Amino acid sequence: MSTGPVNPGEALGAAADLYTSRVERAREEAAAGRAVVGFVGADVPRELIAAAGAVPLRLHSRPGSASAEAKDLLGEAIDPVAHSILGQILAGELDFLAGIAFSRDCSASLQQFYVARQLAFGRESLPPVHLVDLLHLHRDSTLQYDRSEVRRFAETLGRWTGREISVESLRESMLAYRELGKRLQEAQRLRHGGRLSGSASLHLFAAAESLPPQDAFALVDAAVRDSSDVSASDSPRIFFSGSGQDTDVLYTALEALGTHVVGEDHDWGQLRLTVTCDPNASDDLEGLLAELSRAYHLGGPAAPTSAMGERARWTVDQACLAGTEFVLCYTRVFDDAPAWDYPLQRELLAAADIPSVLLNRQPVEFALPDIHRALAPFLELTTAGQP
Amino acid sequence: MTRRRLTSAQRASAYQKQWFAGLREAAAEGQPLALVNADAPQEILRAMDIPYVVNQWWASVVSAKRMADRSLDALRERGFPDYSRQYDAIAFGAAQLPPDEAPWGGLPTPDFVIAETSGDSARKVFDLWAENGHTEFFAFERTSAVKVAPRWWELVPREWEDVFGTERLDLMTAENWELVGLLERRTGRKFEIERLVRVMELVNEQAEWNRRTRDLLAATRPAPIGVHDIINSVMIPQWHRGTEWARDAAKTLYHEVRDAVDRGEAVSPGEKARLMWIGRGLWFDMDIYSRFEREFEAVFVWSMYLAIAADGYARYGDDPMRTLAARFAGMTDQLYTPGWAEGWYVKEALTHGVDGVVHLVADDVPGAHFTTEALEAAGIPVLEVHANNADPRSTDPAAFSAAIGDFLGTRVGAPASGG
Repeated sequence: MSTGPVNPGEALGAAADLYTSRVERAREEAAAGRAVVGFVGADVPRELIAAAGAVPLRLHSRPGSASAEAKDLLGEAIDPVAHSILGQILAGELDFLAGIAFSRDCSASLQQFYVARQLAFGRESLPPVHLVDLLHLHRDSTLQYDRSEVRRFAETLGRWTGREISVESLRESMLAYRELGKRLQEAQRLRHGGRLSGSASLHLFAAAESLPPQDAFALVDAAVRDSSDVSASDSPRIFFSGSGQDTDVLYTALEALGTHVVGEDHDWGQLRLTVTCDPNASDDLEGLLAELSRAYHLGGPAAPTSAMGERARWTVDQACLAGTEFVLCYTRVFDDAPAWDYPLQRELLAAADIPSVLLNRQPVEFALPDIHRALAPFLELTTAGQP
Repeated sequence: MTRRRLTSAQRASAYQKQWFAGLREAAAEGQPLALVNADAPQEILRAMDIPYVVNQWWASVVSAKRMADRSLDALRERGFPDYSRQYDAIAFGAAQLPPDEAPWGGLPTPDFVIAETSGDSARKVFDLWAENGHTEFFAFERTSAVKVAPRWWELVPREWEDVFGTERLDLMTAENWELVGLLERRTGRKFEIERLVRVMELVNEQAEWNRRTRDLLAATRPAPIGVHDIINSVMIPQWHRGTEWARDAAKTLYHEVRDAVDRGEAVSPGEKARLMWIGRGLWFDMDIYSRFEREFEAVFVWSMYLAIAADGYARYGDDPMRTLAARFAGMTDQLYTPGWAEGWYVKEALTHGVDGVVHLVADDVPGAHFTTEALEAAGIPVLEVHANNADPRSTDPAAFSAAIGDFLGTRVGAPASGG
């Protein structure tokens, strides 16, 4: 799924175009004969997908795709993003995929797997599915379990793509993702400096989830170069905490209100950068799989899989690092974990002199006036001192 | 129409009150205390003589005493979501209430809370217990069902290695030993594997008695005893699993049911409809199970509590710690996971000859669609009701009863008799 050469000054536009057409571009790639593996949730090792010769595509919600059948199958009491993704699967929009891997990063992802697995028994047209049950308690027993899960996923990918993962292909893939991660880190530095917007940052993270790593690297690298010389934004700096944002609609709205979204603690953004692995950790395949397991095991802290204190400290550290003036904790309806974390986050943020507000149980189609109302005191505060 | 309060239920309730008073005294004297979630391996505590309270049982007591609202209010006042994981969180909320208002004198501050990382937020609730600096939280991973087991009840007693998979069992066995290490360090008590062997034997014997009781009730028409009267007789001993008292209580229940059958007793002699209640008990409105007996001559003959006690707990094996892991690694799968649960509910519905099912669907349990679909496909009408079993705010009692009444009349074929 090459994006082709990226012309100077056009990288951000190319990333934005890709963002709105990720699925269509993946379908074209599949039509051209290349295996595309879809995945749901954060805890699916992209490195393995690429090492198996496939293009990774992280599935995301799309307007209008939350069908009645998907709601019936999953029930109403689930993060509505799941309705949308399952709706696309049921509608046959993802039939080009060689397979779909679901992670256990949150209960919505797990429930989608259980439903898709049941449906797969009766509908031959559905892509094969696989659960990657990676867990996160920081114990050796959990790490051992995660290793077995990574190994099992590697075997499944071999069946899906017809290409067995080798030590060479995995090392190459891990190296490519490591370099991509470094470039995304560089993009975050530009973002902290006000030279890259939050929505543009989302686009770059999504590129890393929907392109082969080398192509994503080229795009992010070009975006970093393009952004290095732009003048810095002096908009009020807001840190986004809470539910994952798999579309840029909310960030765009926040930016339209005059804020700069300087960071976030969800896995469609900078939380993704907490997964780092060493391609030279071992000379054999089992050792590299173990390294990959370690990296994903230690990734996070994500709201649904972490302790309150661990996540609150991470959020505050990142908010401080980004020079945040205000934190918005935003949760979608039926995505409850962030709301449990918020009281401690608020306490630690207050100790760091960073005000925060909780906007809780929001619908997918959020109400802009509600957001405006929540942010109004902060915006008045930050603009009052300006000339 | 015969209504009776089972002697076994009366004995269990009396025992529970006495036991809880003793537990409070022991805690006041400095004995360790654990609060344990239902799906965590309590048998380790039993083998080490560490007193424990089961979180869900305590939530049911708080709820039955009509204090769930206030407990959840206490959570909200601290900024936590009162609409999330209520069944897990009510005990913590109740601990925030004034001690003189707490049910049964209140739950002493536990030294340990032990729970699995279910869903997205269960872990958060138990993090809160550990805020006080005294209580330690031991978390078990909640592994997922990477395999399906459509007829799990035939396999889990002995073929559990294949059913749950070596990796899941390796993890939970290791966690069991880690918990042992923690308990030994904190309490100074010594874990002895022979004690666990005996505990496991007693649990299996208890499960065998429960299976006999379940089979007898399934085969008897009209129903000699309703669900309402069975739950206490089953569940209080369930939370004392691994003791002679609990094993004997299960045996007593069987004989009591056997005697009722022999005497030809019936909840509703003109029994027109046999009903199944799928989901957790509605602790704040336990009368729901008997409300339809007079007017509709409809009897709830099945709840999961006896049925899972009959099919879900027995495990036989040479390695007691791994066998224990096999009891809990997939407990949730047995009850809720698509590919596992629906076949069991259909089997139970058919063996009990039920005419209709009320299916209580909570926010935090998956797979409801497939259970309902499988029952309907087997010709058994289902009424799905969406509510939280421990949170009275989630239900309008009048509307709830009206929906069941309508269901009985229109789909089960048991119109009100006006009795």
